[in-house]
Amino acid sequence: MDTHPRTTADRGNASFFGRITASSTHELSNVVAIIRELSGLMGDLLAGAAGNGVVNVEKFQSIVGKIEEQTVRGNTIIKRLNRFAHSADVPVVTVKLNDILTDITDFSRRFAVMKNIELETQLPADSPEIGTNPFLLMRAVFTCIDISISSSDTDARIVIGCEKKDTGAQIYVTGPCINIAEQHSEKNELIDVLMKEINGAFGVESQGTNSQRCLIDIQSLI
Amino acid sequence: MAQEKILLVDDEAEFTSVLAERMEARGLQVDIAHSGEEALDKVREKTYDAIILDMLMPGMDGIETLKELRKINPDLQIILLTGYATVEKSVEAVKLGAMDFMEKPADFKKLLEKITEAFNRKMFLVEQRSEEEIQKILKQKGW
Repeated sequence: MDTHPRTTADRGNASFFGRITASSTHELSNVVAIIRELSGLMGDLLAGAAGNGVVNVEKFQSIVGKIEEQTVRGNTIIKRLNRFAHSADVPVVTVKLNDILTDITDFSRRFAVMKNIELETQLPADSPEIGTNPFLLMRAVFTCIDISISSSDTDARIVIGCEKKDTGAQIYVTGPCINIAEQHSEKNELIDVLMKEINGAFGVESQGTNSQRCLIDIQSLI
Repeated sequence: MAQEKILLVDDEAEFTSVLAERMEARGLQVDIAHSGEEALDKVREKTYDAIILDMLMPGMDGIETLKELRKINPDLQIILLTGYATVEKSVEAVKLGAMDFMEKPADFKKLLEKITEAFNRKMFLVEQRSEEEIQKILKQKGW
């Protein structure tokens, strides 16, 4: 029995969880920092108004609007992070692939932005639903995106999408050409281990000379 | 605090905009850069008393930017801002010549105190350089 890859995958779960959490909390700290400065600015304006008796209503309205924008942004991050935390609650559950791919793309976006790489989703109007382990599936897709990001030059574009198949669904991550076997053997091996866990299959398909697709075929476990 | 020249470097446009407004209300002159590359361009054109630099940015990150800024001017007083202050990164930043680092969201009053400290350090370095220059001239001329 080959226990080594399984051990590697298990150990990596915590690391994956850590990367997602660290990235999200970093973004949240930016939100909090902006709200803090906006509230500080209101305090400055009030201190000025206490001195001269003039309140700039328009300025206050503008600040309130900006605070509202940041709370919406913060709430979106928190809800996404909360869904992610709960993705490990049960081993198998029916999920909408569009939701899973939207969340994991949003999580990956900050890593992509660091290299000025654009991530885009192309999702069907009617999302495929599948019984699977959402945490392991997200980790597999994240690893595919991670491979594409680390293989891309700056200003590249990576497309994440899915489509319904007869007995399940197919997820794709299209990015620049890479030699996955040579350059990313460890990640390749990891995806294979994850595929065994969720009854899926992983492959790479060439898309002309400059790009290729990482493909994940999954069958419903329910 | 009077007319200290500050460069804010952060990719969060809303953050730099509000922080700049609050600083300017207190008499500071503030320029903004939204990337490491933009910060390097500004530092080549103008001198600053303090640079507030975000650790994590697209393209050149804070550490890389810090290294390049110090190559342009080793006397620059740089305060790093970070969303998650890991001890390793912060120690690395100070070793590379950062004056200090603060965790986001930073306390505005403390940030202003650090800017004053940066200004004083810069003035000390300027005076030290001038004194060295005077001593050099005195030796050369033999007065």
